[in-house]
Amino acid sequence: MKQNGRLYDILEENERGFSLRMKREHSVYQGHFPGNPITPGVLTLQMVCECLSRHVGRELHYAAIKNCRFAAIVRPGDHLRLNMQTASVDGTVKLKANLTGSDNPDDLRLQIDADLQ
Amino acid sequence: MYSPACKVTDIASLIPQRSPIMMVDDYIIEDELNCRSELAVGADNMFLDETGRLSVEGVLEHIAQTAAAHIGYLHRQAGETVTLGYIGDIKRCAVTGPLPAVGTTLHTHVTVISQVGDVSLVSAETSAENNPILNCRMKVAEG
Repeated sequence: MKQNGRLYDILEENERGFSLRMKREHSVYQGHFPGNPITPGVLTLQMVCECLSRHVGRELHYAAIKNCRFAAIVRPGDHLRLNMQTASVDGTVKLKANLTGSDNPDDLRLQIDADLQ
Repeated sequence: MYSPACKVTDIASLIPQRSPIMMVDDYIIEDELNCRSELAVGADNMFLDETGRLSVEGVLEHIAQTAAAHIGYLHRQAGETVTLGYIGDIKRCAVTGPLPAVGTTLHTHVTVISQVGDVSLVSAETSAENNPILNCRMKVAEG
């Protein structure tokens, strides 16, 4: 858990991933951007890392990001679905994940292929 | 068009981000394709992790804001408005050294590889205390 506090609620968790809702209030929206709150892309990356850490039961950090595409903006109040595929190799968790709108799997927000340790 | 090796400390004039997510202290233009930046990691930085070190996500935001400041500087010199910048993608990102603790100063070099329309592809290297800590390629889109 980073010290900036969680900016999302976990609505549901299962083997495949998480159902998430972005909180409407968080201090970061004072600055990103004033009068136009948009979730910083790197904080959606952090959210994925935190959910994966919870999923595997230990704190993880990105060691390498092969490809991460920010396909569409995430805003406070958005209801999202995080689907993850993972494999553990010598202490490294290999992650492939999609973050989409909760009701529409074609509403891609983030796609990532990364190694975490 | 620009003053070589010009340092800008009024970063708020180049990027639209504001506290608590200002992640560049100084921006230094080298030429139209290259710039550098610095960030002193403060105890109030919002990207500190559970061990008191700046997270990978924080370093990536610092790089994105460096690239956005460069784009903003070139716009300002052209008499144009500074626009919002978004990370389009991150590729070939490798964490190569220990993440910086509070009190450390980050040094970042960004090179523009290509610019197509409102999308800039940059490469970036960040170091701290003369040790490389992260490098990546990033696309920054103006919105």
